[in-house]
Amino acid sequence: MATNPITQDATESTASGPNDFELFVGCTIQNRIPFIEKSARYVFEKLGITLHDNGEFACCPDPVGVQSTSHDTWLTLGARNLALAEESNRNIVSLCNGCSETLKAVNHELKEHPEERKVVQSRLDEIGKTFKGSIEVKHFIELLHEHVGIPAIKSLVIKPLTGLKIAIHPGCHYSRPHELVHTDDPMEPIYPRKILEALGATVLDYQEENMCCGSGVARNNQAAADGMLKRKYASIQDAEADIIAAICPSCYQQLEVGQKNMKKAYGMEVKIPVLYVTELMAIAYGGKMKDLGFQFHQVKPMKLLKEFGFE
Amino acid sequence: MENESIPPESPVACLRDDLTTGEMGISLNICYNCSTCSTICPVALETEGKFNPRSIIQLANCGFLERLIIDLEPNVWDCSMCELCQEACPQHVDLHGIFVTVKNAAAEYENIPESYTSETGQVYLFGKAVPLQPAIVKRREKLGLPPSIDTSLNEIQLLMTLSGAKAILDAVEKKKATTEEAI
Ligand code: SF4
Ligand code: SF4
Repeated sequence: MATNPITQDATESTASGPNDFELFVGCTIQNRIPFIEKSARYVFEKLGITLHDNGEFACCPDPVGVQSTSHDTWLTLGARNLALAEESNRNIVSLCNGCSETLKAVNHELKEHPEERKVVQSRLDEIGKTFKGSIEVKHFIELLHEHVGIPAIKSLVIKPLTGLKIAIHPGCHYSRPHELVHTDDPMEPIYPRKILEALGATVLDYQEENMCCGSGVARNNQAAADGMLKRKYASIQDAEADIIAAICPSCYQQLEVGQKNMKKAYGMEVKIPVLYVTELMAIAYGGKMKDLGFQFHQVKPMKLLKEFGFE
Repeated sequence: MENESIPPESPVACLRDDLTTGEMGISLNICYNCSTCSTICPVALETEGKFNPRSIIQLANCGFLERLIIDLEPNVWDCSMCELCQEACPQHVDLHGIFVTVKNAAAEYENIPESYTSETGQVYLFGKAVPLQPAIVKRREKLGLPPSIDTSLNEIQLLMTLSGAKAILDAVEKKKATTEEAI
């Protein structure tokens, strides 16, 4: 992006063109698995999207944990994050299914329900913030598919993922509830698949593709979560996938940690690296695995990817 | 099981109001008991139906609210929030909204798993569900990422106090302390 170095600071903070977005990294990626953030920044920079950081963002908050504790608190903290982004006049891009669901759903609920909005605003008044309902929230997959577009995503590929067999796990909150998140097909999402196909990968069909990773139920019933994952892994193994692709940090962690649990719970061997869609894009765009932090994965992906010619 | 003398301000009474008025009341009433939700629910499959969304909708509809939020039978916290039932329901019953309302009412009775309150507690203490660790500060640096900045915690704590989560966290803490003392 050609910017005059002298005015760069000023334009950086106020720019709100079509390719400027407020980056909502989310707690899990930011403070636990930051290599995913690395790949996202790498990819979006290549695609000419400017991501702006906002240090005031707090937890989205989590649509499972916090919303189930108090819907009122969930609405109020979500409204604060939206109000912060509104001050910059930029739409939000989120790297996480949970954050994008929360921010979209809170935006929707407050716009549709004036009574609730009044109550929430009265709390925001106490901290000098205003919810205007003036911006949109996008999941990064949605941004890639709808805003950047498949041809542009394809045009940057210098090392195609040829021969790599991928099982996609879209996760639940990316596309459901549809009336709140408004993207893709709610039951059989296809945008992640189209992006990976544009990178040259072989995207597999497998029985349990759209089943939950179980991270929600694992909070209260580990046995049920293990059972769900067992079904999921078995069907991924049946399809003979080399790797699993994720678009949500909770799912990502559940799908990595779950592999160890399978051994404990069922004596079942599962060893399939899990990669974020942005990580796969980054290596297809020429990124080096070490620079991207692939060594920090729990289920190590580098040996396998080297066999496919990636460095 | 249902108690005739429920105080009007109790969570059960509030839940009854929430579930019988407005959009949620209408939503519950249009359930025609077809079980599509339970057929698609992955947790129902794992628990052989011990947990299933239809039974929660039915109990809510018939007013067996104490069973839902005090006895936790069936246990609403077993829901994984995958929202498959929400999409599949032919009547467009707002299962998502109803479940959140039921869970919030259970939380008012301190009937909430620790995995939930500990996460909400982290948000109160740090503004983030996952607080920053020294190892990650270094890792971010190594990856060339900008530092992870702390949000204005006083704002978060004030909002959580005004909107109810703090009271729930306090009540759960108190209950835990009393139970430990009794032991
Ligand atoms: S799918 Fe809908 S209508 Fe059928 S039982 Fe479930 S909630 Fe009721
Ligand atoms: S949202 Fe809960 S009840 Fe509905 S299908 Fe998923 S796990 Fe079952």
